Amino acid sequence: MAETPPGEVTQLLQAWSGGDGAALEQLTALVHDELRRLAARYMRRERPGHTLQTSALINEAYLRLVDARHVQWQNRAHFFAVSAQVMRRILIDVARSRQNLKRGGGARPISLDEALAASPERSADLLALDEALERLAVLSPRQSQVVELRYFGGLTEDEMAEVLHVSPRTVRHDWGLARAWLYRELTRET
Amino acid sequence: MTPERWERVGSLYAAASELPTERRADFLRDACGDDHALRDEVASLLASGEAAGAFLNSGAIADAAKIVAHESVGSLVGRTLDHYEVVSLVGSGGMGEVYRAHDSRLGRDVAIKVLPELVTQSDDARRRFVREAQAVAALSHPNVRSLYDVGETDGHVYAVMELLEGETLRARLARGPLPVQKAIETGAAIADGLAAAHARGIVHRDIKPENIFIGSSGHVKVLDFGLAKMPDAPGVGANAETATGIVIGTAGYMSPEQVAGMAVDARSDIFSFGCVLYEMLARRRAFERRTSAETMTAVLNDEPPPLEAAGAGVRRIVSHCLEKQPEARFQSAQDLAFHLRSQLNLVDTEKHADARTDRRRLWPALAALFTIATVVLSLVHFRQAASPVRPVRFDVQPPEHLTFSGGAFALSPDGARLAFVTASGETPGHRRLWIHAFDTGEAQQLSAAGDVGGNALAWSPDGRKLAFVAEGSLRTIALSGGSPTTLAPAVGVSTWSADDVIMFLRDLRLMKVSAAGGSATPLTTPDPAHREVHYAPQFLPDGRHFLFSRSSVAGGTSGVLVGSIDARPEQQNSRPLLATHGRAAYAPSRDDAQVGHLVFNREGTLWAQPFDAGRLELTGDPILIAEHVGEPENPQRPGFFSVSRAGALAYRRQPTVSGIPVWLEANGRTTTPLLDSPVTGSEQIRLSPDGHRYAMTIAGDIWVYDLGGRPPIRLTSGGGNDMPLWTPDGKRIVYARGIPSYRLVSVPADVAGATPEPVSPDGHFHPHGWSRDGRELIAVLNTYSSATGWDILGIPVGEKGEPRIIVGTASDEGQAGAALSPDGRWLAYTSNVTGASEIWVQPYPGPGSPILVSPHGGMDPHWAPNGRNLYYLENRKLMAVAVDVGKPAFTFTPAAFLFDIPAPAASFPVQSYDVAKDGRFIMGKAVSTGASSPITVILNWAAALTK
Repeated sequence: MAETPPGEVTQLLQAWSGGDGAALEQLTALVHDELRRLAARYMRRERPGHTLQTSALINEAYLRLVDARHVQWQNRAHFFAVSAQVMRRILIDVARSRQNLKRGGGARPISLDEALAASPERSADLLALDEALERLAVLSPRQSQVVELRYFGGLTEDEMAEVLHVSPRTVRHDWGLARAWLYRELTRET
Repeated sequence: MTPERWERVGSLYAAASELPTERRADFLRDACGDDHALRDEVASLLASGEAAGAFLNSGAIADAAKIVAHESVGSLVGRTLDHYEVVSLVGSGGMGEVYRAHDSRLGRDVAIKVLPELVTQSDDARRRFVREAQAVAALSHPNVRSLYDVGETDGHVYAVMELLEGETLRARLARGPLPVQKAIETGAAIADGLAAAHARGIVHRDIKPENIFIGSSGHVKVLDFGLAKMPDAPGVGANAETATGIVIGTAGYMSPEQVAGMAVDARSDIFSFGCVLYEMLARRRAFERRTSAETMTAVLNDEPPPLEAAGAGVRRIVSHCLEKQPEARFQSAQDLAFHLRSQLNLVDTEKHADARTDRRRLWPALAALFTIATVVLSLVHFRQAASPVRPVRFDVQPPEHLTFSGGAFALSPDGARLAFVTASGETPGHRRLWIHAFDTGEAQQLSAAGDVGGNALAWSPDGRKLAFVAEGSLRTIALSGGSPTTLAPAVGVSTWSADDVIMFLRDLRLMKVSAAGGSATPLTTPDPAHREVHYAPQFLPDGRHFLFSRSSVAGGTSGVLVGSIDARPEQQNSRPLLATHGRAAYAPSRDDAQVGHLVFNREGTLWAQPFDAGRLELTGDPILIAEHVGEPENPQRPGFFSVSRAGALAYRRQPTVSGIPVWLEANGRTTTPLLDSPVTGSEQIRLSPDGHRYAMTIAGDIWVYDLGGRPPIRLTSGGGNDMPLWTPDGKRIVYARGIPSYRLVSVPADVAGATPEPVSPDGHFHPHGWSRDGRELIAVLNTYSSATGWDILGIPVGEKGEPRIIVGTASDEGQAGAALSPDGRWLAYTSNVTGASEIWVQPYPGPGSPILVSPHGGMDPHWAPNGRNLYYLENRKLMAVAVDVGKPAFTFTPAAFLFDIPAPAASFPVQSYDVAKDGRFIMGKAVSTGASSPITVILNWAAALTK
């Protein structure tokens, strides 16, 4: 047996797969906690008075995790990799549903004010980014995965290095190059 | 661009970005030579990298949040806040929006006031709101609008209140004057409501016609105690909140002391009430000037114009309310109500008086009953304590049709009750909190607690409240009833000190918060370098020190430590007490709280070790209390327990699934089990090619069992290994190694602990079969890309060469299994291209089109050794597709049901199986799922130790 137990998330996952449903709830709470923190930070900084549908995000995460139960989590790194994947799918679905909503005529004109609020950091167009990531995966699957792990999964450099079995330096390089390439792809005039 | 060229771009980019900006152009010119396209590409990327700014840095959630946030401005109508379905907007204003909503749990309509987000962003404001709401929620009076609940969800802080039909006094006054009699009745009712609030120490501070409601049936309610402040607690500086410059109240109804910014009490409300009464009678405001500054000056200095409408008695009452000095006014709202009623006719006065007397009489009677009940209970306990002390052991079963939820149970401090959480089968979101009393043997549900999560509970030291985690927040609830109080976001809670400090888990560390509310502060700092997690805190009797567990993944040590709430978070790591992967709790002895035992779990066994809580030292050797509480070989599954102050101990075995491999005949009949005793967590059975042995995964390691009865061999150790597959010659086993990286490796099938040899490149593969010539290993790969999902690959055996993709689309192929037909012509595999996992068959080695063979979903395909049947699982059913092997095309008859398979022998919910040459099936059969295991309680457990 391993000499040391894995981190909490893995423990929770193992407990969960061991039939302890409460563990999944704890896991969900962990994710929820993080989302709340992010959402609150975002709200404070930029647009007070607006609402976030974090619970919708979480519910989706929860359902998808349950669906993905037959995926065997073997360690923390694997879990992170899978979570990043799950988060990516969820967030892309969110973006897609918004887009459909707009196409479907439920469109609300976006004021200049809001457009300005959105532009300074160029909040990434998630759908375009998703597609660009697929193109990047053709050139370098690892670089594409680095973006997935960091941007969608929130992994640190060291964690990514662990998942990908490369040095943190390589991860840093991959991230820099991938980001430059993606930025160019997404800002390219068409 | 090819991957090779991209690699070249990448290395130039890396080298160039190390250089100062001005030297990059020269470097690229030299490095790229004539390849201008290459040079331009790298330069363009460098420029893009410089321009990218904070692009992607904030993370996808934040970006998604922005997309969502920019759309959902405004109304919550149609949304659901927790279990409240928001129906319509009733009104909005500076202090938030009020909605009509439906409480789907209690099936009633309610009003919901949502605080403006600007307010809720301030921890201070939110805390004040919650605290005040708690005060109001405790107040139940017919003339005060009831506050049912306070919640926080999706960043909204809201209060749930009684839904009222009717109009505000302001609206009523706008329609015309109130008859004098009616005005007095209304005034008396308002005074009754105020009196009830004042009796609980709640001052309204903003009494005005907008905050008085007249129901359709004429019933009067005081609204918006949400603004009410608790009077300063003794010993707390004078009126700190007013001093910070928050002006509460409405000019024109404020008392002189409020205008002056001095401390206010109930008598301030009486002044405001006087203004309202005046306005009802006079149809004009008592103090009204052009600006609020002038109005406030008038409040301080002027007398309102004389009232003409009312009689002398009523006029006296009004002016007595409006005295500038609080001491000169009515001193209580109760007196005020009395005097008002004395102005009404005699009959009414008597009616009210009688009703009040009756209530007063009833209470002493009830109180007496409670006293008797308490005495009886104490006697029962006393007798237990007085009899010869012997351990008493019994099991508590979950209520019917429910199971206990993990380790979420706790003994009350007096050891007479057990709080626990139940789960309802597989249904998420049905966790309920219960209290089981040992004297009556009955369990009562605390439905108000909602959907309880986490894996622990904590009792308040007086045994009257419970702390728990629900919907991601730490909450407390009084057992006597009422709504829960939300304290802070949390993932677990397990201890509550005599000083009303609650410790809970968040962000992998311990946090503390006062049970009365306030901000939560971290108590420990896990060492990130060692990937530490801190959990399971338990206060020691002094309320200053506590036990907690630490686990570490990377190089640190796991164990139980002593912490102090007076120490800085980073200093808590210094006092290790016990080495264990479990948790510990302190159980004082019967006669001295300072000496007792530490109860802890280690390697699946529950132990008690003498402990001096004063000196914080272990003083003896551990004594075994119960075995098989957890899994000895699995530190992540140590089992659960709880101890009380009064000599009771409860534990629950870790729910584990154990099972035995069995043969099933073609008709589904089970023959003799293949092992004498069940094993825990066995799965993925694979028969050897000669059929004499089978391999399976047990708790992350690969074992080989001999059907002839020779002892089993454990091929791997360390966990993280699964999916065994025999090589065609039966000499080796290929399996998926998970640590330190994913890769297919192989080991000899008859040697324990051999060094694995690599079979595949790095990647998350599962092996599923061999081509007939043995030169290609068929494996599935999780590509971790939504563009490709899981794919089926052919890996060349024993020679150099890249794996080839056999089936690779955006869907997940082979995720739930793949199998090559015995003649090597057909590959059966799962794919979710239709949205559900189905069985498909396509020519091997390809090319060719896939054919769908499962009508209603399928997993884990296997071929009969003669190739005439293709089996697969449709949930718990084993299905068979008959194949016409003589035809060049894949020809089959639709799937037929064979038999229901037994529940799998591991917690992994999908059964796995293999098919023997003689047509029998081998699979694991669950012997016990453990989910229904009871909680075992031992009273006077320490008595057993002294023997």
